[in-house]
Amino acid sequence: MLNIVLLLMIVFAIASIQTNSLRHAVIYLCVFSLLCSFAYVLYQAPDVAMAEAVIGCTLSTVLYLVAIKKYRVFRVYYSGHVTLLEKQPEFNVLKNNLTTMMDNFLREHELELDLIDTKETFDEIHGLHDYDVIVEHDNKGITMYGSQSNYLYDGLVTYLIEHNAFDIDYEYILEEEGDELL
Amino acid sequence: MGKHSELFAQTMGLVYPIIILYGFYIIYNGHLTPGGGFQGGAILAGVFTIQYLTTDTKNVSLDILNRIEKTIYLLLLLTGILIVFYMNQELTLIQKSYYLLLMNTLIGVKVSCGLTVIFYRFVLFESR
Repeated sequence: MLNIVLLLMIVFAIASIQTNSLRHAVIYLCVFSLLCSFAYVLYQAPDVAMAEAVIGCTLSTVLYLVAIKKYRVFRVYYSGHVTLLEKQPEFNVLKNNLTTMMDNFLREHELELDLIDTKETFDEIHGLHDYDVIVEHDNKGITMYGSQSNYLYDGLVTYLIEHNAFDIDYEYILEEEGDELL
Repeated sequence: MGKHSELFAQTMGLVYPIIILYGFYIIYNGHLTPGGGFQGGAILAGVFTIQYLTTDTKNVSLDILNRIEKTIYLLLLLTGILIVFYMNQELTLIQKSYYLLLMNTLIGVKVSCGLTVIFYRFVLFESR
């Protein structure tokens, strides 16, 4: 009995690492925790098992789910300053296409697109606001900036490259260490 | 968490008192059976978590909970010191069990207040 429980624990631990969806990972972790508390019971430690069951299964699971929920908005700053008159119609078409593509991508990942139109330049947005991705659209073309630590940015870039023929430059922003976490 | 399912809310409303009773039972029998102040307090804190999930309450006074927790922590220390240093020798077995019950209750309330404060603090205030 104990061996089965221990093996199942290993299975669920690996499953929670290997799964692609964060929600699934949280639920696997919850099951792992429950099995862990059962293993404690089999080891004759009901006291510890009770604490593990309550904290591992209820409190930490709900906390993780709330944390995922809080991260569900994906904020994109769209900074467009096209000044040449003959490029104006093209600008709107390109912008609509790009936002639709981004929306589709984010929907697959259970996220919501929060698009903010602005006239500010890249440096101002980078310094003043919280953002996930900055799109800069000027006379030369579209440039997209995202931070290297944002794991969704890689996915977005590959998605856009696979699905279309836009001419976009992709740039990575290198963050100074340790400032974003505080 | 946005919209709440009616089914979930009704079911949890039924389960509510049972969880509370179970938490108090664990605290009350802490010195006889497995469990004790910490486990019972954690179960009581789970009730507040469920309350957040079903009703989306925003008007929890964290300040009062914080103050209760600190007061009880002080009481806990004082009771322990008092009993151990002044009355340990003349206590009978039954009196000792009452002493353990008191300590378990204090720990239970303190833990449930603390975990609730942590949970609501995270849920209501922490964001990017």
